[in-house]
Amino acid sequence: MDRIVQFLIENLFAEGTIALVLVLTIAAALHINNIKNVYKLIGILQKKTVDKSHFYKEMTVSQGSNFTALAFASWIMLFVAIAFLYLLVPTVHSVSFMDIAELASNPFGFAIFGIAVGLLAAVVIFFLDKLPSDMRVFKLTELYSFYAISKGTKKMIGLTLVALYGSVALSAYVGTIYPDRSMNAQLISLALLIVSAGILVMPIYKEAWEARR
Amino acid sequence: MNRKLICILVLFAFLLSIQDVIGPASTPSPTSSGGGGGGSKPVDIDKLLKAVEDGKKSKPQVFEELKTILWKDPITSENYTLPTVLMYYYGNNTTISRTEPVDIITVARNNNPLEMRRMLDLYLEVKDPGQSDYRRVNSWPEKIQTNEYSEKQNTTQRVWTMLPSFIYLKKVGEVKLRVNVSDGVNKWSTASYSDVKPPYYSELIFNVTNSLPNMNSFELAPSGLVRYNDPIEYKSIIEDADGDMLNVTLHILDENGNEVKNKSVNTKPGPVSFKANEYGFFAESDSGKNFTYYYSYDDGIGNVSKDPEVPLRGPSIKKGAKLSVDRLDFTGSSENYYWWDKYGFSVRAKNLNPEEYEVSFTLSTRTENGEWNTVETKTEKIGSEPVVVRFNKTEPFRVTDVGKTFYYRVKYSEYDQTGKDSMDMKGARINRKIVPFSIHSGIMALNILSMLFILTMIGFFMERSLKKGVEAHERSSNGTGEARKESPARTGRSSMDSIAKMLRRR
Repeated sequence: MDRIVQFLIENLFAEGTIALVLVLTIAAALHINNIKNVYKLIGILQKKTVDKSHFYKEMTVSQGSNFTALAFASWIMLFVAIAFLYLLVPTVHSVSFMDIAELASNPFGFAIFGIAVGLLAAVVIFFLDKLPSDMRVFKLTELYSFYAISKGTKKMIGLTLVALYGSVALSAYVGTIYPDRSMNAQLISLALLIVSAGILVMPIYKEAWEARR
Repeated sequence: MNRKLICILVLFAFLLSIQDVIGPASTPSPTSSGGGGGGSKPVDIDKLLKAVEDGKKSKPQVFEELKTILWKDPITSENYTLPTVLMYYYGNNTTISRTEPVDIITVARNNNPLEMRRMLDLYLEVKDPGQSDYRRVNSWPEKIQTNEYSEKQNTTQRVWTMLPSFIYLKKVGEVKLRVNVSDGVNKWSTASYSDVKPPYYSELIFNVTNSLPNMNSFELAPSGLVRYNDPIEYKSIIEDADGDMLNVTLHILDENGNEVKNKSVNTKPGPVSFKANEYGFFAESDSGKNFTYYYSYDDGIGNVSKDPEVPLRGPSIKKGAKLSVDRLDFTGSSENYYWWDKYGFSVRAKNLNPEEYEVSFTLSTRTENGEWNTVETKTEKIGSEPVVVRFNKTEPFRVTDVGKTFYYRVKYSEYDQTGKDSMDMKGARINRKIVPFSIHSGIMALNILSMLFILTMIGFFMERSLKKGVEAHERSSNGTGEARKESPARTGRSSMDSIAKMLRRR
């Protein structure tokens, strides 16, 4: 038993990474499933096939521009925090930003890296937003439009931005001391990342949970 | 039982022996002359010829005996006329260079009938320039067989390929060529004919000339003032149309025009080089002196005694210090040897001679197998008192050098006590840390904060651009409003609205 505990402690980073992947992957699957279930239910109640784009339109709930802006910022920051944790220094993969030593040692190297990743994430989000209206389930920009989100949850989603700032700062610290390591900093950064990711996809889990009940 | 088996085997062996004695049935050969007991093989002329040819190689003595037996005295008849043998040369130019290819041809005409002709032995003879006698060129005679004359002209020819040119001559001038002929009974020479018209000659006479080599592209490197032990090199190009082996001599003269050194080399035409250090042309005592030089050369036949006529200037050897250099060292601004650290380097030098000279010191560094990179150059007056030359607060390394061991070198403008003009040493291993800023530093704080701010703003700009907040809802409501104008029975939207609202409440 002690061995198992010791093994788990020694591999906390890998376990946390798996947890992060699971949280996001399951959330994506549940989101698709949630929408699918509602669509199916409407079809049963209507006793006929409903147009999907019409269905999505009816399902849309506005969440307010401030919250939506914060949510966008949080999602972009989530991707940047993931890049900082896994790509700034070699972790899971041997390739890292430190391989581009001249840029990494530049006074604004970290900022360039983060902004580049953020812009890339924004481009991907924009690209997804251009999908046809019957594929709105895949649009990250409309993720929260399909769910009823309480004010408390909205506040929590807004606060993830702060947690992700912390994660990015800790990962940056690990970058500054590279090739030295700080496992504590990496673990805390990962924990903040997992918590933030969990909060960002919480409405999906909540909906799935309530649907089961 | 055994006895029976042995008896059977003996009987079997006996029968086999009888079969061998009787042998297979044979038919007599139609060419066989019969008689002679054991039978004879047919005589084939080809086999006989081959046997003679083989015998010529394997048993030369027996072959000679056979020749003696088979020798037939030449037919002597009053009707026999001596074949005409002449030298042949096509062309008017008989003045040729030693290397020019020349076709020396002998033509023979034999008007005798085939059965009266005799085999001719030809010997080429040459009289070289300055020689009084002819010498034989071919040790074995060149043979003209009786059957090789052309049917119409009764002529044949020999090209003397063993003399393709006169490159072998060590002296140029008139060369005469003739051929001595023998038909086994008579001996005569091509020179014995008179009234011969070109292109036939009784003797071929050539005026053989030689091409003198010539030199060009004289160069002395390095130019300007040099140190006596610098890698001074005299370079030039020598050409010779004949491609002879050439003897080139470099003559070095002092300021008064007296020859102080010379050195000869044997070379084929092409670049010629004399390295001063290799031949020890100059010594420390030559410091402050100016020299001149010229070349002489020959190809074994002709020579050029001075080229160029006016000796060329160089080298001018400067006076300088004789350094004693030691204590090459370095220090880093931290003991971690980060790539961004400032490094100090120093070397101690003094002049072994009493004079004081300005000496330049150049610091260079490299990492592992990289190239030397010049960091800084300093000029110091070096006298008999030791001087420490310092290169302070240098930043010689880049981020790409992390994790590598560095080397440093100081090169000086004079030679040191070991005859070298530089000293290098192994430094330390550069720390593998890449980022030169700590997380607490202002630059890093600015880095992180600006990045976070910009990323947050990207989120806000995205929302304003896509209008997925209130506007999206309004758009959605408008759409619904418009839809509501349509027949509920056709679209079924009103009922769907209520279901959607119900689901949302849940």
